[in-house]
Amino acid sequence: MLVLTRHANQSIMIGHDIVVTILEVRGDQVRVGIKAPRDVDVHREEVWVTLQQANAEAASSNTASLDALAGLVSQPSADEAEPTS
Amino acid sequence: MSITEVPAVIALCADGGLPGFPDAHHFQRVPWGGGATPFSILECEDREGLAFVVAPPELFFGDYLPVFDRPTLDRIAATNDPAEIEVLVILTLGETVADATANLLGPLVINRATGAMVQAVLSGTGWSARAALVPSR
Repeated sequence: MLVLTRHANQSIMIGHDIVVTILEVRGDQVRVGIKAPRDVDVHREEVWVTLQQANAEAASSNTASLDALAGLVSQPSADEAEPTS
Repeated sequence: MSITEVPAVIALCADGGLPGFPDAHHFQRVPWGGGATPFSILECEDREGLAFVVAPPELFFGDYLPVFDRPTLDRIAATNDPAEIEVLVILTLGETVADATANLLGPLVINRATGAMVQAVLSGTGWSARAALVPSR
């Protein structure tokens, strides 16, 4: 990990297009501004990790219970006559 | 929800991939049960075997009305207009119906016209990545 020390209002360049600016230091909180191209996602790390984990769990879902779940949300209309078949 | 509104298989594209799946870009949305259910499977074309079960959040969460920020909407070239964007949530299924959860922290946002898709990151909203579909009594 590259470690740099900055004061408020100083910045860091990442690659050609990303600028990280320390806007304000107050107590144990730092306000950080990030300029990045549209195709670069910038997020709080812990939230991103939460989504990674949730996606991984979801990706290995077994669809065995999906029909039962569908049964929960189906709402036959009380106005429609029961189809005879 | 009218069954006739359920789309046929359609192509969705997440330029930026999804958290944890940076190379997952192209998806086919396949309605589950041939359109007889509100669920779909998003099958990834870039990675064999990768698929997600998705559903419209309003089915289970009536008060879930996320508003998306500019960077998220820019990813799919849309605005917060429901006529322009569709929101789906990824489900994690367990052994039984009671185990099923939805990811409300990271909903999928889709540009209806182009199929461009992004997984939003709703930091600081308190929405859970694992919200139970069936409230425990």
